[in-house]
Amino acid sequence: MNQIFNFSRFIKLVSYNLNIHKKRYLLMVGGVFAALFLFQLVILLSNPGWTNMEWAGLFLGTGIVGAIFYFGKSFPYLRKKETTIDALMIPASTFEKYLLEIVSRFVVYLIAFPVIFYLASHFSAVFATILKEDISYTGFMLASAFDRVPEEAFPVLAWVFAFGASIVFTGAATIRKYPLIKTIVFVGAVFMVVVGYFYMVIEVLDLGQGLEYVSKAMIRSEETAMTLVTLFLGCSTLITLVYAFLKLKEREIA
Amino acid sequence: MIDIQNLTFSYSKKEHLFQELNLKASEGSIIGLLGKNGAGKSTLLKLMAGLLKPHAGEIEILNQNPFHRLPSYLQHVYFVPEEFAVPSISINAYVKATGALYPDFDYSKMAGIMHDFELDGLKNLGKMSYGQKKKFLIAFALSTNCKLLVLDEPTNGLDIPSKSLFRKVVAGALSDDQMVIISTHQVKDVENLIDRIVLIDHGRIMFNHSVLDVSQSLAFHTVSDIKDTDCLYDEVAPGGYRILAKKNGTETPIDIELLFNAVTNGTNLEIHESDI
Repeated sequence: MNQIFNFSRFIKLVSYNLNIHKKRYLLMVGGVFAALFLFQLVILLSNPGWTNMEWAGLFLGTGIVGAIFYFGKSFPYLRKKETTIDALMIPASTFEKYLLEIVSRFVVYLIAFPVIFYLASHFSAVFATILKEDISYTGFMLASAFDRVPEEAFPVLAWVFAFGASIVFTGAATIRKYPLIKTIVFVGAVFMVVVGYFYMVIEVLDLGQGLEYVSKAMIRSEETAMTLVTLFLGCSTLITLVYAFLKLKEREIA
Repeated sequence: MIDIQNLTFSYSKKEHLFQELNLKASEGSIIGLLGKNGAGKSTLLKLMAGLLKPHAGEIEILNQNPFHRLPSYLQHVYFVPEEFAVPSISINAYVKATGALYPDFDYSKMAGIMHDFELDGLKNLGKMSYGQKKKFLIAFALSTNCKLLVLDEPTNGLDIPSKSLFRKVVAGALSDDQMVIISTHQVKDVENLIDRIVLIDHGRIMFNHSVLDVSQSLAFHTVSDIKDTDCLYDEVAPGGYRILAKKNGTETPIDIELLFNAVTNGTNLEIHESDI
């Protein structure tokens, strides 16, 4: 028997998870749909000329905020000692438990959120049209929402999203109490220190000539810049996710 | 089955909870792990379950390192902690969802033990009392047919009839290739159930003998006067003294409480190991 990954064991773990938490998942989907529907309805009623471009903005905004909250709630069993014991003692490998969390967060969110948003937008458009008889509203169309975004920017945007999500995800794997708040504070502090440092070096002390020389020598085109950023974000995401796995693997219960 | 060698573990840098602790045990036994509050009983169980990592030394259970938490280990070890969490679903739904993860899970055994414990499969676990939840977890643990069952204070929260039922159910549900480790400070609850007594104190195993060896080597009496009695340890008790002496012919029931007090007070007990 493979001790790292066994497909049939993983399926049993998924089935266990669904059976134990199905009520919670259904409530969550229902809650998100209701919240989005009401929010969108209010927006539509107060903005008569709502376009698909604006839908796209709303989709991104709510999607990012939702993702931060949802990924910040990863590994919910690690919040309490009793549930942690229960989860760690389940007969599946650490990798399978980790993979389940990746699937139930990243994959499920990336599929479920657009679907829920799409359905909620169409329902809210129908209701808004009924309430305001003189205006005809249309729901969100994902296919044409990002027409104006350059194609080459998509990988970078996707990696920015993946990196941000992986940080919040790893925070949830590492920190027991209030992981989302603590992660945001920690990342914010690191960001401030880094930005402050470079501000001091480049702007205040005027020591940035070397940096400018190196960056100009390395980045000769926009394409190179995009590749470097994608590479940096990809590696950072991978390292962050590996760190989350190791934290789960080495988890101890005092 | 269990081989712990030179185990060292501590929660703080200043003081070791376990210092070079050694323990060996083989299958087919029900071990009573006894010790004072804070002696480290629960910690030792967590180390065995793989929930804590030893700082030094080795733990090998079922020829595996528990802390690796490999599926092949977790499929054969079931841990019932003192404080636990159960989801808010019916017993039947829980058994259906979780039983599939244990290759040797016996659904008919589960039904039988649930009947013995008077548990209703349709009842929601979240709405049950602490004692009922504990009975359910014990029933589930026994039904997994895991080779090692680790029970931390299993009788805590059980009412008096349930405690005797617990002893009956555990004794009747085990096979020869299984082992149960029961940690408790309520020694009366596990009397007549355990067949090996392990006492832990000051980070060491102070006593590790089979009940058979104890009953063949020691005698437990209540006397009105201890003058002229050749006892190893004595305690004032209502109506006289409880004494622990070398066995002299007649076999007496083991008074685990007295034995525990004797060991923790440093009494030197000579127990002859039987070949069994």
